[in-house]
Amino acid sequence: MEKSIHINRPFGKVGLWACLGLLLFIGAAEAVVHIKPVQAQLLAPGTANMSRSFDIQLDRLNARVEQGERIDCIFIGSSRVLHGVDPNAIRKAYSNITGSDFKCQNFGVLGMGMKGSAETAGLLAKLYHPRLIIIGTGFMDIGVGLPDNAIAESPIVRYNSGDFNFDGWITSSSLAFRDYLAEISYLAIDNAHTQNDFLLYNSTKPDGFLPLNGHKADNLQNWNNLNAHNKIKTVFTRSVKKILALKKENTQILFIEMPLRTSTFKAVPHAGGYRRVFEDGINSVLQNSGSQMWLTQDLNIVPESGWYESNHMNVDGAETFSTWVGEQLGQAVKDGSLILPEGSQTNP
Amino acid sequence: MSITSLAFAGFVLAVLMLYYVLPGKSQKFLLLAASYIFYISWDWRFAITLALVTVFNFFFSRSLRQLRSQETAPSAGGRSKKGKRLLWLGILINLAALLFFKQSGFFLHGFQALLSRLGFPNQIGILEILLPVGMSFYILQAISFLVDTYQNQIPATVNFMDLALYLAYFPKLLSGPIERAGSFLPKLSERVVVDNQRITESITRILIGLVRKIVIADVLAARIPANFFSSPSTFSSIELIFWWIAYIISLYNDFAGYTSIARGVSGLFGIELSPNFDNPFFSTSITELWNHWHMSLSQWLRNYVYMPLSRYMLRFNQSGRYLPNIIVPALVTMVLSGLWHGESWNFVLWGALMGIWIAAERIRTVYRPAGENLANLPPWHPRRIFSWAGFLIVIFLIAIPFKFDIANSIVFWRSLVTNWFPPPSLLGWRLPLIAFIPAIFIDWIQFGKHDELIFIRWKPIVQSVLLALCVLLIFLAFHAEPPQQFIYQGF
Amino acid sequence: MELKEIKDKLKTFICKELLNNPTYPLQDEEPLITSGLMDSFSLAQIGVFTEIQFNVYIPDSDLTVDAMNTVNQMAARIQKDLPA
Repeated sequence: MEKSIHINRPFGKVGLWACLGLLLFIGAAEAVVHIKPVQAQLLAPGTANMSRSFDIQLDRLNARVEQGERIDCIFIGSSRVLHGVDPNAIRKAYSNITGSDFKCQNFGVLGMGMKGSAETAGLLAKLYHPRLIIIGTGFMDIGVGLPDNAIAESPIVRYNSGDFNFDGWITSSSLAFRDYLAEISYLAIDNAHTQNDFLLYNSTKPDGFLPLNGHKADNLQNWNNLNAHNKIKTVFTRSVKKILALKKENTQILFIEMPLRTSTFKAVPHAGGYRRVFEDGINSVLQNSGSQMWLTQDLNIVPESGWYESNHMNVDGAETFSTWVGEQLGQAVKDGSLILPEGSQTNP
Repeated sequence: MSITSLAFAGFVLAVLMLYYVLPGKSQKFLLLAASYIFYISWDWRFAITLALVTVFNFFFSRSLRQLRSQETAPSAGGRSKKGKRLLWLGILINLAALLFFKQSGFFLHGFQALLSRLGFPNQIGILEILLPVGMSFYILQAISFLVDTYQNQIPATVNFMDLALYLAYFPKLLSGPIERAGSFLPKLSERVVVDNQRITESITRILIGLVRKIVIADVLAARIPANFFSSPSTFSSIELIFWWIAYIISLYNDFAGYTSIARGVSGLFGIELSPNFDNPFFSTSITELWNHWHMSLSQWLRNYVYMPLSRYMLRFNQSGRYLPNIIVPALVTMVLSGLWHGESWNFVLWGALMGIWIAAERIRTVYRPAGENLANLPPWHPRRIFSWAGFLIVIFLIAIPFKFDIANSIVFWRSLVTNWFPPPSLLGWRLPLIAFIPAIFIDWIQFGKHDELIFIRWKPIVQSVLLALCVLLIFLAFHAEPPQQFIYQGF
Repeated sequence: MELKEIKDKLKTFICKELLNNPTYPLQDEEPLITSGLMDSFSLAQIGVFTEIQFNVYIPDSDLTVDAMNTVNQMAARIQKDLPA
């Protein structure tokens, strides 16, 4: 034998002690970040999906559930949802009509399209079992949104949809690790612009609503690069089907069109055509599914003064729109056209 | 498979288990098979190139050996005209093979331009040739094998399997260390017992390597601004200095980390590989730096280029102070080194500047006061300060064309002097500065005791803490994902 | 040739040509390169000096800091290959 191996016992003591030390350290770190005042000093935990907006929403939702609140409804969508859906207004309008409480969480994520919404809906349905998931969408969401692929491929989403992976497991299980993810992304930022964007979502309210005040001048020229298509995409219909499949988990699904400012919608070339493509596409999937799509563009719910700019409502517009949503929900539940399951406990 | 991947770890474990249950005679065969499987995992065509190079050099060395044994050993080492000519032929064929793959892109594009000018359609797709990874390294070793055969440095028992394994051995296949045939081949047949000590040393090497590669090099490389090398003019002087230092530390830890892992893995198989780095940044001169940076390449160049050339010239004029004797070997060696790193003009410039600087250092040594030893002078002595200043000149002047093309090198040098404003944005420096901490720590501790494995001589409890810290840092650095700009578009 | 003779010739050459100081009191066991007295490039000169003076060819790969750091090491290496 030219090369042989010979291990004398004891061997590996250093390694054993290191493992023990590591476990102790991880335990200690986990304990420390669970102390409320400590956690308050840290950035909202991250999930390694490249979207800070998503992380903040997950954190806000988590915080409410941990405080023992029961979330009836989660409203998922892009920044049009983030800035345009005020859960308080929905709650007020709903209880005015039905007399019962209805707690809603805004889960609007910057840039998220239908694919990202579907992945998010799957994750949230599994973790929080809401009675109703509302998808706020529109003809501009037919393409894949900027964070969609990152969200779909993020470990925590894959892990919770049954694709076991170590990173997803540790992200789901360890708050210390999620805190690390947030802090390290913040440290890695190399310019003031990105830093501002990163911190922007910190002012998101506990119910996930990020109100915008006043108005911002906008340029209709930008609409020439409209993110819309004259043909429905398979990724879009596949995503809608994926969302509908969540009904099995005892969750009702509702789609609501997030409108554009009326003057903008009228001015944008071909907007009507794009919208018809979107409408036909989504209706063909919803047929016989028992779920509805509420169209809002033609209803002129939000007056011109309720817009921050062409496609994001300001705080007043959000109140108007959300009140409308709350009333419609209340009516629909009252007259039985929308059936909400009793729902299980919200706590995971 | 990448050497820092879990797949590689699994591969090594599987091969190790087989290795130690197989009888000694089959061990080399197993290593050879494993090496080819490893290489095929990159690209099967690479393995064919390697096999062809191996077969050629085996038969060539046999002829070389036969020719040598026919000649009686004459004086002065028995170098004969005929043998020498054959040796040169062998070296040239190896170099031609390397050049073919290395330069083919360069030549083919010229060829394509000619074809399209003559009106032929673009057919370059079928001619595109890939440089097999590791070829730059194994060709140098094949040359080493021929020269050492010619100089009777190779045991007569060395067979085809030995040569094949010498060239293909997977821990060193991709990026060295470049082993000398005469010293590596006997190690393959040595009896070695891999005991607690060796295992500990090997695992420590692997860990140090992983920390260097993942915690330091990768984190730094990911932080260097994307346009740093392509448009240095957009950076201020301070930023240029900072990112260039970050790049050098990243490059060093990347390569030193790789070598450390390679040596650790090889150590588990009971085969020692040569060191490649010896805390180079503590050198007091550039000549010294090259003795501590990519040492196996420096030694190869020294053994097979610098020394023969230097001796050849000294035979005509024995004076060590005769300037051509000083300048020409250094210049030729460093220009060749530049060309080995890359076949473009910036590498030629880099090599030429480096060669001139090394010659200048040598001239200073040759003409210094009798018996003076720089190392004995206090650090604040003008001569010591001069050598430190030289260090800065090399890093910020001579080393630049190593990474920047010639036009951008000039921009870099000019911006370094003129672009003092605007003041740098320090935001992006935070993570690199954190990564500098382990970088400085490891080298400082190793250099302080002149012991690469000083960590395993510490108290067991300290070792445990350090080990836990390493594992934690490697895990965390793997997850140091930066946020991507495109997500943060704001409004 | 006596070992002493080889050493003396080497010392004279090293002090005069490499150390720039013919009167330097060089010792047999004094480290030359690791101490910084001369640099490793000077080994090429030692190699050629050995070829011409003693008719002994030392391969480049043997002209290393480890093997050629002292006068004793050099002299021993030369004597090994000295023509009878």
